[in-house]
Amino acid sequence: MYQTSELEINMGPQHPATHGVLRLVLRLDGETIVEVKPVIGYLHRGVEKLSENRGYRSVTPLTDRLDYCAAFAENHSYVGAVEKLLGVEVPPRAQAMRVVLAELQRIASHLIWLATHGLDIGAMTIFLYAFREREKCLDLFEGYCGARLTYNALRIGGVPQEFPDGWTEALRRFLDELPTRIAQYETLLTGNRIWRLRTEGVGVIDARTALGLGLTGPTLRGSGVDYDVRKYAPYENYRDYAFDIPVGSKGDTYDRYLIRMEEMRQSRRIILQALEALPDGPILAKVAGRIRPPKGAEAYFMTESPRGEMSVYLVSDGTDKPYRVRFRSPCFNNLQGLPTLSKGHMVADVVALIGSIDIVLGCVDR
Amino acid sequence: MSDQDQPKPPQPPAPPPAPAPAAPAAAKEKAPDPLAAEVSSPALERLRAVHGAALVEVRFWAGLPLVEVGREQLVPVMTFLRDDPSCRFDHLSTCFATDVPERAEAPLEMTYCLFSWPTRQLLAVKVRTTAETPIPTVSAIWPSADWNEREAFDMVGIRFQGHPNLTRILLPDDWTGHPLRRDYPLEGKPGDHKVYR
Repeated sequence: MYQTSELEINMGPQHPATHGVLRLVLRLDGETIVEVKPVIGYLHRGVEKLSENRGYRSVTPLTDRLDYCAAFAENHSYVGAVEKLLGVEVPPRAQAMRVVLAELQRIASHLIWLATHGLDIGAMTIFLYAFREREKCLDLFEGYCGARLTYNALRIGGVPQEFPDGWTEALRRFLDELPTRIAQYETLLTGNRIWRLRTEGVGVIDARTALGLGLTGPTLRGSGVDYDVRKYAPYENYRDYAFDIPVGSKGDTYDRYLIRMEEMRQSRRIILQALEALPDGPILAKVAGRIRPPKGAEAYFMTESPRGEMSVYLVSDGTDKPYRVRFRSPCFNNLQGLPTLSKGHMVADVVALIGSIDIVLGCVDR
Repeated sequence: MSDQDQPKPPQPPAPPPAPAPAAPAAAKEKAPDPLAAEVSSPALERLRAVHGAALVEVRFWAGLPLVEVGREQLVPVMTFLRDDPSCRFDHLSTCFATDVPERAEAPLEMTYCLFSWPTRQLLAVKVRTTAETPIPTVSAIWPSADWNEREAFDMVGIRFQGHPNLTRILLPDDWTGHPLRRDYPLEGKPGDHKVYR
């Protein structure tokens, strides 16, 4: 007697909850999602093509523009790939300084994730609190390299400068208050009934499916596997630090939330260890002025960015410009899991899931 | 895989950091570069033993084994690499296409970066083809290849046989040409898109 029909609606590309210019084509049965088709490319700037036409050193500023919420992680991945291509050993002091900055970047990135994820689901209060602390991270980055978002804070072979006077003290002050702040956020969300109703059981994915889809970072670890590049393919001197990889048990949005909260604490732990045992010595290895890796040299360098595995593949043809640069962006691969995650959920849950996989569209589209 | 617990082999073979980049042109062919030294890879040994005939070329750079396989053997080799207990490449980190026009007989190259979380090994597998000859998709082996192969199709124009939805992904559907080809100008071609240029 009664018949329902499926409805196709469009979400985005200009939508406040899509964290950029992401378009989703939703096929709905009532309010239940039958299928989600992400349409991407609105922010495609051809970074890989641009990189082929620039010198090795001039590519680093381009990488800032990939994931503009965690520019340091992208710098790190690219610079590390060039160092691997050349066989350059980064001095221990520079390695430790990189770890400090990378983990500070992770905290800043997770704070902006927390703010916007909360805002998307309707927990507005958290937004300003998290941005208050993120502001302090950005101030620290500004103190180090002069920029607040697009840092270009690394050089091939090391770091450009020592931490400025008073910088480590400011960082310590920030780290001292961070646990209290995280505890504050948790009082707002962790036990909050509305928050739990919106996140628990939403977007459950099992470890096998998540691995197959190429998910990495907290999105994968929510499903109960402890795969983290910092442990499984350690770079810089991550092997020297004690830290835990938080994993979830159910693989839902709530687990992924808890993991990112814990990761901020672990990042703080790593920074404190690195500051404590900051080695002396040079901060920049000797690298030829004109970088010309031999023909046929290829290198793949994996890092754990705040969003997952960020890797760069470089191919050299013996000239001073890279022959091919491939940016493996965690967001591109994590977004690929969105259709699987959102099947069978409500329209409003899509917003929670986009926040949960933590994408930055600059990183997706490159 | 206890010997793989230190999965950062590039440093040991290259202790002198400065000389390597200082004289790359002189050391091009004559003296083999220390970075090109062979590294031990249990996965590669297994691959050589079982699928030795499928391997066209094996070389190394900075501890990364680069293996080229024939187009026809791609799917059996990849399935083997995923399932064999000493390989277990459960993570297709990325795959991408490169245009190498100097190699006229097969100018397009697809590179698959495989990482094994359990055994902590990294391996790059390459396949060469032409614009006309499709290569088999690996999206049935690793679903994550789906979008990456679409991007390779979009940017370089490699076609994949058996791909579930081989359409453009980053560029608009009515774009003509493939921007990551060497002959594609950096600032685009007039008329490559109807609306935006």
